[in-house]
Amino acid sequence: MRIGIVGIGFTEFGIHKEPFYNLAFTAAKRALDDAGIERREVDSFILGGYDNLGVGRTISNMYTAPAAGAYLRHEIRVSDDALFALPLAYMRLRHRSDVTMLLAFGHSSETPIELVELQSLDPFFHRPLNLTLPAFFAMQSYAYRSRYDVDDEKLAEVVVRMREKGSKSSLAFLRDKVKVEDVLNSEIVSYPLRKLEMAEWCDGCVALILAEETVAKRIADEIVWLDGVGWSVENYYFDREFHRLPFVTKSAEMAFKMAKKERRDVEALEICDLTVDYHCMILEALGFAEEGGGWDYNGDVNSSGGALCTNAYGSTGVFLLANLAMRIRKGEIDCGLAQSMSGYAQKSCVAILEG
Amino acid sequence: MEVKEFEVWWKIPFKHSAGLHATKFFEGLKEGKILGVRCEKCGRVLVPPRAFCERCHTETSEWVEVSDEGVVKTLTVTYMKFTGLPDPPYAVGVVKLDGADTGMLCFLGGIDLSDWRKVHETFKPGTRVKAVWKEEREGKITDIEYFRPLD
Repeated sequence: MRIGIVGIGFTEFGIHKEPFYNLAFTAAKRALDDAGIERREVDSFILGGYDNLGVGRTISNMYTAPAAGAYLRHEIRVSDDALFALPLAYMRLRHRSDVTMLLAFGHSSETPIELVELQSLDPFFHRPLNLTLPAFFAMQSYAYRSRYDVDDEKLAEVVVRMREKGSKSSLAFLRDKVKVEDVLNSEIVSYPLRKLEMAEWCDGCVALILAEETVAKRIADEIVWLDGVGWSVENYYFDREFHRLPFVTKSAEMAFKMAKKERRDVEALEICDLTVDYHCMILEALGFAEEGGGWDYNGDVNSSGGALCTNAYGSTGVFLLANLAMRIRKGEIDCGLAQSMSGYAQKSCVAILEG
Repeated sequence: MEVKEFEVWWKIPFKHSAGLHATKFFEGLKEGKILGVRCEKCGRVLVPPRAFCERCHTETSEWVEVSDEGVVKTLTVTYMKFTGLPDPPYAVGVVKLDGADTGMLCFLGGIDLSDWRKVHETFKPGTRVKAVWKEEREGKITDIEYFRPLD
């Protein structure tokens, strides 16, 4: 039995005045409309997004479940980047669900996420030392650049390429092109990371309608099949090498094995480049570039502009996946891979899609 | 119509149990000692200490004192001001102490942090460092004020 995506609904990605549950409602309605089905035809709701203080309500699905349409229905959530809800949606569909909605919510604009995420760290060893997300990301950047002697200009060129792609996407949050000198002259946030080398927070929701094969074929003509999904988690404490991401490799291995596919089958990638260094490190960990050579990758990566252009913290992974699915649906590509990371770059999820 | 906004602050007290392993570690800091635990299976010395080795999934029991000198694995210096966090600049790094097999997060200091170029001349992966202890210690990770470069 295969599982397919038959409906996709995006909100605009930006800084919204409307609260996250109203955006969630909009995405859910658009996905239902896109699939051409009614809410009553969805028998399972899976919600994904950071269930912390990012939206100031610690059990945020209390608000997003009704917005998705789960009023007195079967609902469960994953408190993480929403791509990590995809395995749960897949498993639900393999076990007596005909149609499942995956709703991804991200709303970063109401609070300083750096301060919120600091509270996710232990209160004994790491939190007292003010290890913000940018500081942690920067420590990985430092290790990566130092290990491979990667030139700042080469990394800036990657940012320029991604922003160029973002400028062509009507869904992207940051659509202004930048030049190499803009990147290199942008403010140092946490050395060596500059402002334009990092993803910027925004708000936005995405909903997907997924269905098991028989039902999917009844609902839609253009189905995007979920062939494989994999995920992996790194240690919390620092016994890791900072210049590479082995948990990304593990998550990809799991997804490829399930999909019975090879890297050469994948025509396009959407990866969660929360920093320009992660862009390179993820390509390397996925096996699409040599170690230290991710900046030179000239394949089809992040046509959406990636996280560097759109990072609604919590829905980013599904935003990337949905962009990939749209391309498959349009016939631009047959097979693609989407990847996301969460929290302090400790976890990775990979999905392989096919038309 | 302008959408109304409500400004809200959270202030919630917690009393977190550090557990026996962290407690022993913090008591050691008071005496100017850094303690780790050895995993009986893989032999690695884990700092900060914990009740089990994550890699082997076995309990740890043998306590080991490690040096307050070590080598920087990676670092960063924060220059942007974030709400609720100290005024920049401040530097943190992961230091592998002599006698330990894992890295420990710590402040780095003892030099002018205002210019990242100069910081980079002193601190980089591979730089040897030594702990600078607070005179009055209270059994917290911040009893180590920072790690300074070793001449």
